[in-house]
Amino acid sequence: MPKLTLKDLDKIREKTQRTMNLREGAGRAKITVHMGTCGIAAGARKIMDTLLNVVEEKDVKDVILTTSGCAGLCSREPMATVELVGETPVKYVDLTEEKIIEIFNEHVLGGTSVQEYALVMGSERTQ
Amino acid sequence: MTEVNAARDTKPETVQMTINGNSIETEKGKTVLEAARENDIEIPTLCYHPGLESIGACRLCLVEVAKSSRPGRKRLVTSCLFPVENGLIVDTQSNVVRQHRKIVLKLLIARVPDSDVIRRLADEYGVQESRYVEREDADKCIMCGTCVRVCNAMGANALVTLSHGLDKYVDVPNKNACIGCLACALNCPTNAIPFEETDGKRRIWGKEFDLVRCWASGEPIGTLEQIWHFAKRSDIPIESFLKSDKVREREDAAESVGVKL
Amino acid sequence: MKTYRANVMICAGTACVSNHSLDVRKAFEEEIKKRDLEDEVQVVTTGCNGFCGAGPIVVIQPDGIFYQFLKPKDVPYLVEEHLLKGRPVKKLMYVPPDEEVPIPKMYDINFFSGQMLVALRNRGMIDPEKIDDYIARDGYSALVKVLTTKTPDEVIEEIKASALRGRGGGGFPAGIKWETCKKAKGEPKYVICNADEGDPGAFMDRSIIEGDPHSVLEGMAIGAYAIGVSQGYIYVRMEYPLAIERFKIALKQAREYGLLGKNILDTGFDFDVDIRRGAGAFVCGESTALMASVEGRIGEPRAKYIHTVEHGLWNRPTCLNNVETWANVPVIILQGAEWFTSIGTGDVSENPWGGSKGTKVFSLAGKINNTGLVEVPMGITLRKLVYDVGGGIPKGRKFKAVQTGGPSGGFIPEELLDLQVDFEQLDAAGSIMGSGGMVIMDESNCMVSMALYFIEFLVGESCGKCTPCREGLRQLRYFLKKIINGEGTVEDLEEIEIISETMQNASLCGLGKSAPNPVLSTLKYFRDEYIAHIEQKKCPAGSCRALIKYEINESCIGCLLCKKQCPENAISGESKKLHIIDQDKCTNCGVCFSVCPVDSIDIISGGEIVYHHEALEVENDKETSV
Repeated sequence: MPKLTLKDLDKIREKTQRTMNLREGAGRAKITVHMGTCGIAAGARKIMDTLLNVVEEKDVKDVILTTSGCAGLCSREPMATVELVGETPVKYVDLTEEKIIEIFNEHVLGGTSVQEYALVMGSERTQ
Repeated sequence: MTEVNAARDTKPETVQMTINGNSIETEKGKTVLEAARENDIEIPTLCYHPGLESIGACRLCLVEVAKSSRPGRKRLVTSCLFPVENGLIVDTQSNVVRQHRKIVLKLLIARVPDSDVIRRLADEYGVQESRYVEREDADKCIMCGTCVRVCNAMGANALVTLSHGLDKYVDVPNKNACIGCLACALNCPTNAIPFEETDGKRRIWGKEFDLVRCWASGEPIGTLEQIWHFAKRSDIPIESFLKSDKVREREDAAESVGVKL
Repeated sequence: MKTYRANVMICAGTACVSNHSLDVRKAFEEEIKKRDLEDEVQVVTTGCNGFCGAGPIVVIQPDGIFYQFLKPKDVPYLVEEHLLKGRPVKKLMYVPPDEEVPIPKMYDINFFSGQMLVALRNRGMIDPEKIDDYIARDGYSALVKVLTTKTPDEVIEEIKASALRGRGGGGFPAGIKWETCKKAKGEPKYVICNADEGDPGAFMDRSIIEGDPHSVLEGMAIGAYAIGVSQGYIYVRMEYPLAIERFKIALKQAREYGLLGKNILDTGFDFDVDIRRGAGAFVCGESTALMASVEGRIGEPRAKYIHTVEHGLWNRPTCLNNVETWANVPVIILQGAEWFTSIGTGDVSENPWGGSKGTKVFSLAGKINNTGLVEVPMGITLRKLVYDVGGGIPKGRKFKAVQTGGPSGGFIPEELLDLQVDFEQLDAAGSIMGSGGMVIMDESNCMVSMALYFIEFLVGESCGKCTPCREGLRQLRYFLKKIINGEGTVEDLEEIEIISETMQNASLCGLGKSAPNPVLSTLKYFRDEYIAHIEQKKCPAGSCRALIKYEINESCIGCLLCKKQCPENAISGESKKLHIIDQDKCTNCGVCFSVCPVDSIDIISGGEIVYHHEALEVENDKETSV
């Protein structure tokens, strides 16, 4: 391993920032993909994979990806909850790989929730 | 040339201090013990030896010191190690010093109950009865370390301390290293190292030596190993070692009046 | 860089490793592979988590869920439920004593929420064998800051202003030590890290080295720059092989990166570190004995009229500091002295002795629910430390005393529980901060026995050079044993006090000087126990074998259990009938007492019942945080 310069130290820090954020549970946004038996059966793992890929592609460091158990609304799986720091969490239902990418770009990166994919806040049914 | 003169002209820095209320002048670099003894002020010691580096092990030479800037702030220190400094106030006889000296001696008696030397010192410093437990199978060794240090000074390096704490003891693990010079036994403050000389032989540390006799008077001078060792070490011709002190004295006396024996 | 969505942080500190946490790791790796989660979940081994009494410990991030007492057989279920299906497993979580509802998140558990991590800032977050992890969390940033923007004198001023005091027990202001060393005459100078941690029950330094070795190296490098040193030594006790191993790896990686060695980061600053191993001597934690040992001489102390900052290693100016002290240095440089002084007690605007600033790592051991390692701000009350962070006394027993500072320290009784933990207040109570060992005692601990325990420890560790320590310990042991065996007299107490005073004043080194502390401290706060042993031949704690006897009372149900277990066949009795102990045969081993299911064996001492069975006394004594 060659000797480091000051710039190299900064680069290492930057490179590992995502891992450290993960370990601290720190981030600007958290996306929880609902698993549970129903979620997995409905394809939640593919949603998670898609998210992992897009995070890596776009080199996003401050977004936490995690899982939780079944949310109860098994018929609307796959589901994911997007939570930006300081804002109310938004539950997205009937997800596909394309939809989650759109949600990632619009809501997580862009800051605006994607209403048409979201469950109405507080209620268990959509229109 | 100039350097030598300069060295001779440089006097060591002097130090002004007080011991037991008396003003004392001494040289920088000396210890409180040396300064006291120079001025006939007695401080008892056991592990101190003027020819060896002090180690402050026996703790008998404790005195109270304070700096003149803070006379109330007294410390108990070993005088054999504490360096003199300007304005130092030393007390070798305060109640605090006496008390600790007494307890140190009381502790030592429990360690070496058969030692007359320690008993005499203890009596002198007011130790009476003791309820302390005596060491089992006690010899007279107070673990002052003098024998080891003097053996190292002699260059034999035969004596070492082994183990530690209450189990610590002194021994010669490699008998070959011992030259039988008796430096350890003769310098031991409690005569704790046994040796015997009979039939032209000396026995110490489990080793037997032949004693070499003076060619003139027939008196035993020392062991062959010891003579060899010191001859080699000092570059003095070995013949000089083969004379007893009496013969050497006679020779010196004769030489001083121009007669060669 | 691979993107994971979960990290399984497995504690690989010595305690958890000896509890097979590496087998747990293997189980995780296998199961994750089986479930095809390798690209999503990363398994990471970290240093000591701190909650050692609950190991093996695993924390799943980013959820922050804490799992305890894990076995390899728990892993497949855990992986399936939590990692795959997102359902954390309740039955493997922490449940507070005497409660039923588990607490899933680590930071909601009192043991963790009461702590403030400075020296342990990277705890549970990094793999100690990966330097990149350390760098990622601002590692070596302080060294960079110092080398590129500060002069050595400015660094010393910063450390002085922080009032950082030695964490090894002496509490000497580090900044002043650095300054004195810098000004001393003699070259080359040295810095030393004292990792000899000898106090029984103390493992703070071990955890820091095993979990975050670079924090120590960086601190030493900063100190070396400030003082003008290019060679450092770390003296590790030989009983810490894992710590030595982690240090070796850290040194290798730091050297490879050019963060140690010649011309560090092209700034012209040279500094490297060598490891030296101890050989099992407690006394080598004393600085002059340590240096003698490094020099290859016998590890015995010398009189310190001439300080080691002036004449230390090979007679050169040497700055020796404890592991935890060095680990604090990079943080102080990055966050500033003012931040550091905002934590802790006292006023250090005039001089650093005026307060105890920053945090301190303590090891909680003994009769406490949450055994482990904690870092708390100076000034926390003992009550909060014992009951909040420590979780109180197990089995509903009553707090009796906390021993701080190891063999050099003392015992703090219940009436002083509101004392704030700092250097001065612990000194005033007759104890010392020491290196941070805290052993909690309940009413079943006999304080006279505890005093003897420490004296026996020191008898085994005294170097034997000086009379007061060597012979004083002999006599203290003799008198204490007399008392414990019921042969003590009141005069013995006087002898103990006189000998103790001489040891404190006349011993050559700190070991001897502080050896009487546990004895004097128990005499101060628990004199009545000594008197009971002497006058009534009674051990109020029911512990001293020579003074107790076991008797079966009428609540005996005749289950035959004690009779079967008695190694001396001293118990007679038939099924469903009262059993009787034959006192002539009984050796007071206590086995019957510990197996009786219905509390029908009493401990009698001095003619009274002194102790009841474990299960009975569930007093509601749990104090909540103050």
